[in-house]
Amino acid sequence: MPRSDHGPAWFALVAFVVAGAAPAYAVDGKALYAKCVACHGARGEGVAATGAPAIAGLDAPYLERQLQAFAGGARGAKPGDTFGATMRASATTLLASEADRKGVAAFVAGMPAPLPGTAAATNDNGRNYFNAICGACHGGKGQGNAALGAPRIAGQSVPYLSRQLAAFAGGTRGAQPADRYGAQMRAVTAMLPDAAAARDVIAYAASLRP
Amino acid sequence: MNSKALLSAVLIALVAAGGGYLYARRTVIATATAPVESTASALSSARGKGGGATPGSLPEAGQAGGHVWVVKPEESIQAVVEKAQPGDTIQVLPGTYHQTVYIDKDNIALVGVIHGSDWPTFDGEGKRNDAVLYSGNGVRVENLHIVNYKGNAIMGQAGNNFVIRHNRISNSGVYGIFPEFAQNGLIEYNELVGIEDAAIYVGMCDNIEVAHNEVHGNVAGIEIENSRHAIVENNTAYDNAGGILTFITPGLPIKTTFDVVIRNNFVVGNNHKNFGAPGSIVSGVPSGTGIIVMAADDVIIENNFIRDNKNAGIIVADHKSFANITPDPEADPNPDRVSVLWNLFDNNGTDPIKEVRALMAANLTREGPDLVTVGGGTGSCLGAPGTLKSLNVGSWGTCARKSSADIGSYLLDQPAPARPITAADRGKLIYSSVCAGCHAYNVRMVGPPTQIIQALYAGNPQGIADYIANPTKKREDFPPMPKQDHLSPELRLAVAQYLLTVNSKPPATAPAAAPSASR
Repeated sequence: MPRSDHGPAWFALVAFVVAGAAPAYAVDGKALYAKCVACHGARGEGVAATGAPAIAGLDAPYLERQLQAFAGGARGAKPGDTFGATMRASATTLLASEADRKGVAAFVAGMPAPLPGTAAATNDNGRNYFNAICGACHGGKGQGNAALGAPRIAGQSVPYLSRQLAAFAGGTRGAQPADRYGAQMRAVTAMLPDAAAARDVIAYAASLRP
Repeated sequence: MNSKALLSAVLIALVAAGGGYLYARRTVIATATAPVESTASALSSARGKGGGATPGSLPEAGQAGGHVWVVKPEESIQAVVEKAQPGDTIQVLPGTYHQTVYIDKDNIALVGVIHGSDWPTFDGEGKRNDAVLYSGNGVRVENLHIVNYKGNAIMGQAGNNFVIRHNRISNSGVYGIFPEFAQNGLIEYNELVGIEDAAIYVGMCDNIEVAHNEVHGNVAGIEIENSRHAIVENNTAYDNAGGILTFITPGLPIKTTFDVVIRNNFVVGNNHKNFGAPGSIVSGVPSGTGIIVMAADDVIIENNFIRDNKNAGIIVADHKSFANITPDPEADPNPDRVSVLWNLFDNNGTDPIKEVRALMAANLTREGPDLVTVGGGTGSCLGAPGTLKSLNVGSWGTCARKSSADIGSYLLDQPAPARPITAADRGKLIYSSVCAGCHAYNVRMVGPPTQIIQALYAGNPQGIADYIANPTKKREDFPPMPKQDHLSPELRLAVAQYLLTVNSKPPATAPAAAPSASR
């Protein structure tokens, strides 16, 4: 059947379903996101100067989990975690309720993934370790896999990825007893044999374009 | 006669010999019509030197004197397997079968009956995983036409003393013929096309003969991996991404590959696009490569016809130089004592990959290689220097050995004993003979590495046991996991428990530090 005949009706149906689903949170994610812009950028593209990662288009369950973790103190409450502390303050004060956090997560998840910046230089070592370790959950192109709780990491900045890897390795992130995904990340981080492998795999992930 | 004319004469003679071989093969296959209990006698007359008749250690027709069952289309082959006794033969009449057969008994022959051009066809319809699985010893699988399976066409799981002969396999998943963790077996006169990894994959085996097969249009034609004492001879490998491979793949329970003879094969025009799953080891096989030796030791390559492979005729590489490989501390990463004796090379290396080009530039040559080595390794040699375009073989000597004629066969005279199975180690046996076909410990073969599964399922073996009984697709860029529901719930749990302990040791050091610490 020619698609154009049915396109508008199909679109209207989807629009209806989406519109019908939105009031579940009864919050305006778009309006709430205005509070995030200062650090994460107007398009959620991440801002190097603030250390805030690219969040646009990450999957909603991941975003929601992280916001709840910051709000609840599982992330950002450890001494020395300056960036985490900033985000924890934002998640608790700017987003006052669980409903707010859900709403903004849904909005950010719907933003188009950011356009790629300049790729870092990569090498075979980084590719090999990425394919051997990271790709199993984050995808061969770092595109993420929501079913496995693995966010998109392709195109994240080298400093951000480095900080997160170190945070998992040192237990600043992911060490709470109930944090299953964090425990998985902590276990796989230990599979990188040395600092060179960590550096190379981060450069590779940062260079990927899903 | 000048040297050019001499070469032409040799070429013509060889091409004629090759044509004669192919003609003989087709004639023999055409005569192997049904009803037959085994095509062995018809086919073995066509075998060249070094092969000879099948040794008595392997299952052939009549030796068991068992019952002969006949299965027609629409009947269940599995139902007959359930009734069959060791020593029986199951004949499968021509027609179409939408089935998976699992043979967990010893000395069963599953033999297709071919009437003229009518074969028994196993059609997986793109939804079944495997056509034939076996874990019994002394199993023979013969004369089957297998199409459209997703996992394997024929997979052996720790079944010793096997014969897989004269099957035609196309578009049937990740591996075509795949004996895993077996001793003493013969794979001959099969034709395989359109396999996403290795068409014939000998994994963690000993004493294997791979002969007279025709493999084309696969990612890898024939692969001898983490296996010892194997001969690959009189095969035709063309139009694959890589023709014939022998590897030590890191992260598998068996850590060595040695005593591999690759001789008298046609390895021609293996320039197919590599369509292996992205990120997998096999996806790192450079298209256009005739023969690859990665980390394997004591390999002899002799009297092959290696032509028109655009990247290189032969690559000898270590683990470090190969894509998507990360090191295994328990496996030697270097290929040692590789003997490239006399082979006929022609028109290889016309369009090499950039790593080979870089070596060419460093060696101030514009000629693509018949043979190139990358990385470490010692004790390798050339049997006929001056007859091939070699690159980076400065450390290679001249072989003392002139031929491999003294190596007749690595098949055993007596059947290999069955692997003992105890309650304590059955999980390990299943891991080695089933899981490790796709899951290496620390690298991505086909599925996610074992260490990743350990991280995902820490403390949850039942989760693995449940998943493998009824897997769902979780990763868009990985092939789907085949169901393992031929294993009982108890065995599934046993293997899951074992899998979670593979290579487990206390962390040697603190987790790797990332370069910039958390601020």
